[in-house]
Amino acid sequence: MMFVPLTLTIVLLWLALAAYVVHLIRGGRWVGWVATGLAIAAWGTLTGELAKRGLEAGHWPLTNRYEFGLCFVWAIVAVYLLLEASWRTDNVERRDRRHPQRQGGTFVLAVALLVATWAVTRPIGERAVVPLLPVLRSVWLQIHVLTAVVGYGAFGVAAGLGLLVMFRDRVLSLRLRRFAHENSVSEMPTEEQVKRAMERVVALGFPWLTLSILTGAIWAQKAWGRYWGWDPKETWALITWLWFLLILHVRPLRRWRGRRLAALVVIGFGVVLFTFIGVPWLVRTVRLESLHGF
Amino acid sequence: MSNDQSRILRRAWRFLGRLDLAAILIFVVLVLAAVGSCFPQLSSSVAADPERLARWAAGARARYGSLTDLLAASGAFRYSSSTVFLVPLALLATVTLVCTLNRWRSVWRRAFYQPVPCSDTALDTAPYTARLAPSSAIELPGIVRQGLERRGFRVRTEDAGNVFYLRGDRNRLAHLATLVTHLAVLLLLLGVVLSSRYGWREEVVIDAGETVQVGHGSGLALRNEGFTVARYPGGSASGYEAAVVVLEGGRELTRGRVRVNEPLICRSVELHLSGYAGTEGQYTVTLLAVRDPGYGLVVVAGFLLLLGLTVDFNFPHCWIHARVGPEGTLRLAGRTDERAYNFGHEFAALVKEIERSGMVTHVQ
Repeated sequence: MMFVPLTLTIVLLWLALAAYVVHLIRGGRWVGWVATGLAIAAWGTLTGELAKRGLEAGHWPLTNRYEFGLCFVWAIVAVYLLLEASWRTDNVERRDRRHPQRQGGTFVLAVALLVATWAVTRPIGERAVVPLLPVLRSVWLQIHVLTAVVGYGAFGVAAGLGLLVMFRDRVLSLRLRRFAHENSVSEMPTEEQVKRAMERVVALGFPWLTLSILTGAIWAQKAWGRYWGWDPKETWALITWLWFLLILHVRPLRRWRGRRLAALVVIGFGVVLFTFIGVPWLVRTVRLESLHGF
Repeated sequence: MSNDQSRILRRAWRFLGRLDLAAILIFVVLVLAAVGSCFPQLSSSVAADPERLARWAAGARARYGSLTDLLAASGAFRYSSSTVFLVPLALLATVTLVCTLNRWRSVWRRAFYQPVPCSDTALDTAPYTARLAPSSAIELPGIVRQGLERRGFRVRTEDAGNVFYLRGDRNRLAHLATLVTHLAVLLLLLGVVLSSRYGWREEVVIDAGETVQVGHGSGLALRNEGFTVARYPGGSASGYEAAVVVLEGGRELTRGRVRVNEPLICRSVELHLSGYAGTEGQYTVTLLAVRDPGYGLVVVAGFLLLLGLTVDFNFPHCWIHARVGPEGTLRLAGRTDERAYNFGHEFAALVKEIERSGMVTHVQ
């Protein structure tokens, strides 16, 4: 039987998730390295799959919901791995630069797998490689969709870190109860450190989402003669933008720090998912008109 | 104006500049947009055509029954131009303007008028501090200056007799980014107002070889000189192209091809390919003529917004004060915007670097 890279990607993502879970609960350096290695391997095979699909189709794999879903997973894992590589340098107190923080991996990989599962369960018709529609034959397609992919990916990672902020204490008590050892507490990042990492990723995603909406508006002006039409997709992109703008505005307010802010970020990812997955459903259910294919 | 009136005005001004009010208004606007997105929207082109409007109204009535009138009255079918939506949006714009005006002076001062000397309190209360004492007579300010300049800090010094002050700033102008961002939002809204007030759109249906006036006082007319459909080997359409001549008073102004994603622009009027009908050689094309004086401003505002966000999030202002006292002790104090995630390491590295020179001992 031939190895299908996408199946391999999903298997590797599940294995990485399992390793991250073990690392989160038990700690330990080598499990962490295995988890990171598996996540890198999953990202690599997904990159291969996307490249293969792009070469086969003769255009960037960004033209339908299935392809966007795969790119979304790709971006979540990529942003997370970049964060993992850089997060160690933020740990001022520990000064131990050899131990990257991997505790968010469990939640981020769970988010990535949620999107991946949705993507791979698309009907065959939606997964088929088809020629580009004339309206999609524009350089703005790549710019608009790629920027959205990066923004959404960052918000996926932020949601994973938000979940870690929310469940950190429970994880810590589980660690101490089951696998009590002297490093149990010191290995876990403080709530403040996770919160800062989460904010950092939100700050990464927000300009990319802004750029995506802006380039989408420019493309819409070129294709349809209007930069904004209150199309359901456009409206929900604006709602997503406003939600994260709200997060950036409540962040300095004392009563919204910590877990409440994390909850807002997690809900924000729900808004992202609704914009991506829910809007086509809304259009069908309420019988709205939309010019957006996905 | 009486004292009471000016006090009320000051209070109102302060209230409008509050961050939590801005957050509440953002939330209200997004909730209203979310609710509005659940209803079919009546476009202005349909509203302008009585026949299409009647069809649209019949469809809405069939779907919503007796609730239709209530929904229409509440603006659900045109929520983006309804009072319910526009009032909080206008309030949000006002709050943004007030916030920008409130912060203008302090932001400007922080960017351009930061004094070099600093008080003992500033040195004591900074989140990052260090105190170093020289073991021999050395040129301490020179060492600190080099260390700061190597890290991209702009260094200024001031000699106050027996005390020497030094201040290093990096990304000093980043404070202005927040003003740029807020101004960009206001410009964006202004662009949208210009588009909706002074812009127009007209669908022009032209039979093969025919000429049709655009209207809206543009004085332009369009002639359909042919339409072609390019196809993929499998037969599906890969592109559409209309050959169009633009006329003014019967005189040819320009001619060109209008493709999907590639409008023809003449005298600030964009011509977009909107549809076609008919058979090979006898195509009727539908062109969309658009004049939008707000679009340019919206794009400029969008990129300004992006610039502001990028600078604000990625170039945090960091500054380090150094004071060499009469006894030769060096005190360092570092402060930063909260987004300088790595500043702690950097400050520690600077202190280590000064220590490594072997000429000072760390006393704190």
